[in-house]
Amino acid sequence: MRTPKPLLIFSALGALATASASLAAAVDTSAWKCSACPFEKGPSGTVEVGLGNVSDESAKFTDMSGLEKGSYLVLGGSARLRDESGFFGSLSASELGLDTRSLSGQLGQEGLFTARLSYDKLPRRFADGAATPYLGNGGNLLTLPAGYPRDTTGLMPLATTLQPLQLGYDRSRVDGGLRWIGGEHWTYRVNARRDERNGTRPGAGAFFATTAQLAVPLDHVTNQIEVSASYVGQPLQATLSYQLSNFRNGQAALSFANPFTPVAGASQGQLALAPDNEFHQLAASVGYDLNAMFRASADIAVGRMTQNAAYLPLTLTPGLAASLPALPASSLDGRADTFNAALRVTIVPPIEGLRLNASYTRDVRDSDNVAQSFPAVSTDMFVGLRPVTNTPLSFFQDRLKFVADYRASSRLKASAGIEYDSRERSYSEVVTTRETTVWGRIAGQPRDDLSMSLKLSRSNRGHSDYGVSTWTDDPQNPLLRKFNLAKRDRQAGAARVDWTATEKLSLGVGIEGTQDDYSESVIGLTDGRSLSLNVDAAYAVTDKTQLRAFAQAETMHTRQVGSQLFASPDWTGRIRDRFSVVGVGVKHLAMGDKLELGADLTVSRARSVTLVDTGTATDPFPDTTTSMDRLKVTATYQLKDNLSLVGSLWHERYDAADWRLDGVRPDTVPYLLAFGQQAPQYRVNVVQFSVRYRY
Amino acid sequence: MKITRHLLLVLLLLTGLSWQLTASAQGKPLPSATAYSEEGADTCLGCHDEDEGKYKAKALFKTKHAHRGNSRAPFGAGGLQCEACHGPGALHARNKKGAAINSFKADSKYTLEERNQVCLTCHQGTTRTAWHASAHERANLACTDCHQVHQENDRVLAKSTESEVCQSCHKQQKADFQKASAHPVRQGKMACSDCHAPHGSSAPAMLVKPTLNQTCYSCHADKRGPLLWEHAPVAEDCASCHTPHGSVRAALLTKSPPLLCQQCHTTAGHPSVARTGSSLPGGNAGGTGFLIAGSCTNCHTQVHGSNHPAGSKLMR
Repeated sequence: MRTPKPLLIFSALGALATASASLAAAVDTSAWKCSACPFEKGPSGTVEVGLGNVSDESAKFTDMSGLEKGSYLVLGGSARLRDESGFFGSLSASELGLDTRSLSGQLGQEGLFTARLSYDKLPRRFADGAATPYLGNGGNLLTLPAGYPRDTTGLMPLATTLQPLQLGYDRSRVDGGLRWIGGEHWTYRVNARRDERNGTRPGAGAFFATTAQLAVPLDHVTNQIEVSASYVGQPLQATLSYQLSNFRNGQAALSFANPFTPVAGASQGQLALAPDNEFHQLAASVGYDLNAMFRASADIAVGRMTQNAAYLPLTLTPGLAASLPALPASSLDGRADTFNAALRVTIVPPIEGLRLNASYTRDVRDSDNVAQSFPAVSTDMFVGLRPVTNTPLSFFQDRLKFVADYRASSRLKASAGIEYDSRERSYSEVVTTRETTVWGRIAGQPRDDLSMSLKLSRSNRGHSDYGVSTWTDDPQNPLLRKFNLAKRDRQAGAARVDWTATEKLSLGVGIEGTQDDYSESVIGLTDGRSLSLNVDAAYAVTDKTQLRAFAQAETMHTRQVGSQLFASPDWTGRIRDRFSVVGVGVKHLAMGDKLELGADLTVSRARSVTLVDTGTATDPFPDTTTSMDRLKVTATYQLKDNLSLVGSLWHERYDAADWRLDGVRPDTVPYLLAFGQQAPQYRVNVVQFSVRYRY
Repeated sequence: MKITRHLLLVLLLLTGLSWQLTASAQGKPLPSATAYSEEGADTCLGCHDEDEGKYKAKALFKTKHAHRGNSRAPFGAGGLQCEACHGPGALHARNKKGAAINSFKADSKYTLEERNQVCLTCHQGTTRTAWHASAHERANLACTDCHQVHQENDRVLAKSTESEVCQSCHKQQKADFQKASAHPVRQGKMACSDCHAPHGSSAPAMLVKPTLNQTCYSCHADKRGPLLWEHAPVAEDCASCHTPHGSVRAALLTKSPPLLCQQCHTTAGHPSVARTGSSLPGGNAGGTGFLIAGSCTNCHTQVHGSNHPAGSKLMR
């Protein structure tokens, strides 16, 4: 008899099924060969080469993008390698032809270590149309050409001495790390980072009633290193780490000539630049699972900030210097100790759906600076009658939070919390502020395709007696309540609805608002409120075409009160900011999926209205506005499986109007030698073509 | 004999069929939910063998989860491979039903906590020590809401794309980064996780450092000091004057001077003077230099504090 094979196989499978069921309890992986597993072997990667062109010049556009007028090289790519021995490595590079270039690499041995190293550059550009007569910009000594000083800017030979000034710096970062697996539970890490900033930023140097905007040099180096050991097990996880951050400034001071006719012999001034400083911190964190109903974790960090840069002379004016007493010390020998601790507890009580969280946090910045008296030298010109004393500032903050989450069903969750925030300060008008916040949130999913949430909160901040500080300044108006110390009532709310209308269409809408009331502030910030509304949508038109869009509109109002007569309120200042942004994006696959098209359009508008009312007829401020349209179109055509052509077009229009800058020339104000920079306005097109090869 | 052989064959066939029918009717012959597959990943890849599409799994083998040399990794020696995360798969391999295995999807029969616990079994500790009390945990986020484990490049782990993941929920911040002044997140040069610890921390807004100022100092160490003449709101809280995600005005300021400064500085003399539009160039009120260009910072340029012995007014 010929036995029909399909029948035999069918019968055998039936028997096997039953047999395997009885053997399922034990996990025997000896037969798990993973022979079908496509483990990565050998090298792979991509290379992209091409050219790009930027049509126009704009500091604002170049800022953080690195795109400057002219052509640039498109160069980037990636490489990966993994071999049978468990060695792995990768390298990636992007924007190598621009000042935003980045490189990163990683290598390691599976199960043993991973080492990484990266380089990243970021250009900052600050001003369009800035100019200065100063010589030596970027250095620590600014001099003036012949023709200076003069009584006013109008008398200065600006026409012949002004030169364009590019304000900005390049930040470069080298970041590396080593992670070593030390057995089943231990991992050790060493991370190191070096940041360098070289260039200039805007600043100013005053001589009492006259002043000049200056290019302040940046020659900053920050080195950071963090070493840690982590234990991960059950029920305990713990990490111990040490961090050092060391800041070095290659320029301790900026000396600058006085462009105005010196008063009291003050022909030169000097700014102290950011002094060298260090921060050490020892930190530990621990997590513990007692059981399924209780988990706790805690952090503690003890740190110290130090700074001991040598003091600069009180003045560069020889006559004044000769009349001054010696400084009380040659440097601050500054020190501030930090302490941060937190304890978090999560409890799942035997009530289905209920979960409780509690946390306590203490943050301290305790200054050990010595308070000393200094002659009140003002802008290298004269010395005040009363010496001034520095104020070592210390802050102590305690926060306590309780949160309860209750999941009534798979579709409904309610949460509530109370938070208590207490702060103590030294050398402050208020010793203690205490704020209590109560909030509630409910989130539901009435239908499979609909989710909703609503959160409301209310907080109240009070303070101890409000005094008047006179340590370093003349007394403030006694009716003032500084906004960070004042009694404040805050109400906030947020709601959101997300709806998956169809398999292809999803919609979301959210609204948030906050209202602050500083009810006891007669002078100072009295109230503020903000409201924002956002909408977003995603629509899959077809399998090949996808659309997405978002929009946000927000408004923010603040009101403050002042007194010109140092008495009762006699003026109010209001600022009303409005901002809206709309973004639309589309992705489309064409030509048998060989052509991938993408387009993103972003349109934003901002308007800031400043109203100052003194009760008399005054001119209004023009509105400050920003208008930006950005269109990015990309196309990727796949010539072969491993070869693509990439093209992109980026058009950006930016128009800003700012009464602080527009029309202000270096000599607009007789006593202010300004940069004369203008609010940014540009229209820039960026075209880029490249070839991408994958191997 | 032929009849006997045919009878035996029929008997064998019926036996097999009966077992199959029993399995379907009573569930007993099917593997239990705790049974692992016979061949581990080879069993899974028998179906999940696509590079793209519904059953893609291959990209996983370009990730660290597929490191064979790491005994802690699912594919390390003795590891349970796919089933280390997805759970016992014998039943799923048989009935092909998604519900029979931990698919990590929202419609999985496993609860969110159970799904996340799979990840936390290995990834608890270090930066996830505070996960249990974090806002993201309490907001019912699944690990897979942010992470794409089966992708060669997890978007949320790359600086240039991380913010797209975060901003899919954080709409306000998405809009903020479109403002005139913002950190370079939109440009892909900075990641949300440079400042925030998405797995939880003790600091407000889940910052990576214990306080806001310590977080800011990690890049802006020049502002750290301690300085001889400290500007109190600077030493206490950078957010007194700056808003971190984006502002319609320069330098991420919450307001522009002079009104920004006049919220606190009300001493007799020029700080108290109301500057109106009449002080603008061409106006009749004077005091233009207090208003335009850098406003207050035209003279008080050292707003972050000064270490100059004559810098008490933050002018040196």
